[in-house]
Amino acid sequence: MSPSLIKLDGVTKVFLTDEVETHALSGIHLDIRQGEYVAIAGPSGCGKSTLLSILGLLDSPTDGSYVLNGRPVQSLSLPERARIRNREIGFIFQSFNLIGDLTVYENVELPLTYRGMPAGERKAAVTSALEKVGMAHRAKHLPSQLSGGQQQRVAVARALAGSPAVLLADEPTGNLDSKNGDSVMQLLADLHKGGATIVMVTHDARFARNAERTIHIFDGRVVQEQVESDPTR
Amino acid sequence: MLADLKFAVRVLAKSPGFTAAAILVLALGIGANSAVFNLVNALLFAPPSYLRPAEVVQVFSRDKKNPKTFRGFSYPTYRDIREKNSAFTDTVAFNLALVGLGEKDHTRRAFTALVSSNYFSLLGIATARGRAFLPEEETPGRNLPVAIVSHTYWKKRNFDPDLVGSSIVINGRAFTIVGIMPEGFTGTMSLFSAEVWLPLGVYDQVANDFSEDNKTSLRDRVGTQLLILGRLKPGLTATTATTQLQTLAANLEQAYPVEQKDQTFVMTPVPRLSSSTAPSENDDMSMLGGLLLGMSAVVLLVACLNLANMLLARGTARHKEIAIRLALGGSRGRIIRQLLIEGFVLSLFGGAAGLILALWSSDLLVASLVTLMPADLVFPAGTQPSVLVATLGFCVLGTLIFALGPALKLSRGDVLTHLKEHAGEDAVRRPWKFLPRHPLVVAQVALSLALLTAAVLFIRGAGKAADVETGLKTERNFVLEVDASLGGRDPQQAGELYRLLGEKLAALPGVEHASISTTVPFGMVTISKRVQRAGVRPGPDEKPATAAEGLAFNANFNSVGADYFQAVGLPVLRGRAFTASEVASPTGPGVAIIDEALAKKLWPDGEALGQRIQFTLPNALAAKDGGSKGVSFSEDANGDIKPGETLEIIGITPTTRTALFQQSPGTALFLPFARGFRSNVFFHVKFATLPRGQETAATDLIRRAVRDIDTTLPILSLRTFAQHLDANISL
Repeated sequence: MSPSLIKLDGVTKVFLTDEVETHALSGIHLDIRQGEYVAIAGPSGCGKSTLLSILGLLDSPTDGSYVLNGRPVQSLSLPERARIRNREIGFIFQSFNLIGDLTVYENVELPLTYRGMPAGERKAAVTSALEKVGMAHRAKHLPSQLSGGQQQRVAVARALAGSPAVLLADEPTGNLDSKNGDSVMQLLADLHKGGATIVMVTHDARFARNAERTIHIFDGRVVQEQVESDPTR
Repeated sequence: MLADLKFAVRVLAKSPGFTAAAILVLALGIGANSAVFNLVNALLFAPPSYLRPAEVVQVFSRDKKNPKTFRGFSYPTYRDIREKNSAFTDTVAFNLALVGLGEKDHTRRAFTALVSSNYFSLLGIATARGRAFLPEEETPGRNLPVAIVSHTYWKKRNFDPDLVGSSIVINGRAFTIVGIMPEGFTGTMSLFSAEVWLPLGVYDQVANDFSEDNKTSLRDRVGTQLLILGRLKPGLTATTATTQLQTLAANLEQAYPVEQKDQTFVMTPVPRLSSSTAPSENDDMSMLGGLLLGMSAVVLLVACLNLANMLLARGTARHKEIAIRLALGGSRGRIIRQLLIEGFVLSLFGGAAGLILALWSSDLLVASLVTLMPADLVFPAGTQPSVLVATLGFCVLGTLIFALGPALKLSRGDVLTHLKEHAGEDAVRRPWKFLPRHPLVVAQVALSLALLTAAVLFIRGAGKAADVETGLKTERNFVLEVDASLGGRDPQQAGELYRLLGEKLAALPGVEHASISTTVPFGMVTISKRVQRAGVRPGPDEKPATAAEGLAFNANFNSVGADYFQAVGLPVLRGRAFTASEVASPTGPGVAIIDEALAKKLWPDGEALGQRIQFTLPNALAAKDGGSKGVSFSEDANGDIKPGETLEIIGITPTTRTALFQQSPGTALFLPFARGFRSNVFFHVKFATLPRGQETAATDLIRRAVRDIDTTLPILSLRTFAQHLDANISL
């Protein structure tokens, strides 16, 4: 059995708005192993995006512990969280979130620049990532010159260029038509096959079946874990 | 860093409207600061135009019994100091003078420096062309007509290659140009330079002191005409040098007990902004420089606040980009750096435009001042390294002011919220609800209002000054300024010339009144004299508190012709004006006309008319009021009034203003022209009628009258009184 990559223990997230407390997550326990492909599913507002934000160190839990790659990360400083985000986590967002003033190449290069990677290594990593997603020929284009599916491929390339420990995908097909959605899901499946650990938030049961394991959340709690005996490839 | 720069340029290029507006705002802010720094730097900080200035000091002659009193040196005393001192490697003597510089068909006023032959060698500056003065040219009375001209003068002659060896007409006499000084040389002063340097050997023929004190020959030991500079010997401290100088002063006092009575020598660093027989500090100019820098800093601050608001407004559209960068692991410092680089790129463009603006406005300032001043204004040409560095500094400062705030705010954004599309600012809760919602806008508006208020007050002040009630009736009044000494006339010749000219002007068709005067109301120069009641001479230790006890008062002095009061429309309220014989006779009865303000001060409870006044002895205690605040000089000497002579007050005039920015009307004292002769005079010519648009014809008429009397008499200015007032406002 592969070692644990992500371990959440009793993670709670409470939002305070004026005098109203909203419990977005309540006592989440989660263990994700290296190389796993996990889907987090649930209805809108159930807390799955909040969970992904905590996993991606974009937010911190109100209570509970979070161990990433063997290191407790639930109470790190902002710069340290930024450093771990940059090195250990690759994000794929629903709305692609590419920077419009940067070319495809520069978008993919950006997290590596923040890492301080030497230019030569950067170039090799960016080229390799773009080739993996089939976008090398569009390296000099601006995002606005690409279709939605192509933009999401670039976003995937950006996420995996730095060889992160885990890819976090938040509704990666949410803004795509079915054809492009299928294509991106296939890309993620290929990456998983290549050894990548993927955690994907989706409300679409069809896409959730691509994962090896699906965690169902409702009202901020894990209500069901479902292991796919034959994940769709 | 390079990637950030590239990105910054790309982002700015993508928004040309915003970028152009930002560059314009910054150009104004940075340009104003660069222009003011350029001026202040040239005035106060730039190294002087001579070699190793730290070694050069000015020597002053101080009265031991009255340490606040200083005087100049005679040439013999200078020679003694030069030959007998042990503190300096060399000493030089010099003074400034106004001369008439002959041009093609007219004479204009110009500043000259009369210098000892070693002047340039002590300052360590060689002539650019030709030679320096020879020792024999310095000898008083040798009167060898040689001159060295400034680089600016050479430039005005289109860099004539044959200038050295050619002639220049000074006070009606031809001088041979023997040298040209290098570009940028201004002597010991900053910015302002003599146009011509003459040897001390021609001093008696050329010098035209502001004050009437120095009418002795240069070779006379009682003279006080000269200023002295010395270059300290290597390794000598100021204290040691001062001790040695004071020993020398004591020896000279022993050798010349009359001429050097109570005189000791002190020295200070050479003043940058003046040439005076008394030590002066640059405090006033430093304060003015600080004020100008402060005001321009506020302009930069307002510009930066304006830009900060523009960036904040634009930042709303960039929240998402910043959130993406943060999500991808960009540290907050890295994001701030990127935003500051973007700001700095903007600043650099703004700075470049501002620098062009600053150089252009400096040139404009110099051009406008040059027309008003008889001295060379030597402004460093082109972009000085110090100004470049300062501009770069303003760019950095500007960047920090306008970009740091928005950068801090943007980099603190709610990543999760902004990662979602169309996330707005309102999603962020404001913890400090009691603070203004947009403090930058509040600060910007406040500062803009302050600047606007200052500008409005200034314009209003200038407007009020322009509309000042002069108390005179100056319609159809022309002011003619001439100086016969600049044409080489001695005082006797000048007096006769002025008499003839006065008669000629009065006889011109349409002229109602014409009169001479030594100063003109609202002019550049005022003369102040101290007067007290006749017959009262308080002892040196007495401190009179009232006019009856002998308290003296400053008064603006003017010696005038018989028709002066009618020519300028100033009524004599009580008594009478001067008669023609009083005006013409230097030995006639002592009479004076004063204004009501001075009358009230001298006789607060009685009638001044018919009373007698006298000029004070030097250093008499004077009340701290009265006199002009403008460019003025004070005379303790009695001029053409004999010692002990008293003056009968024969007339009282209304109190009027004499300067545009005078807080309150001053006090005035008028004497008959012959009792207060000066070679630089004004003629007031009042026409009975003057049809609209006939001003040019009238000035032509006056000009022809001057030429009919003497074709070589320098006309220094000729304009209507209204134009004269306007010129003073523009100054």
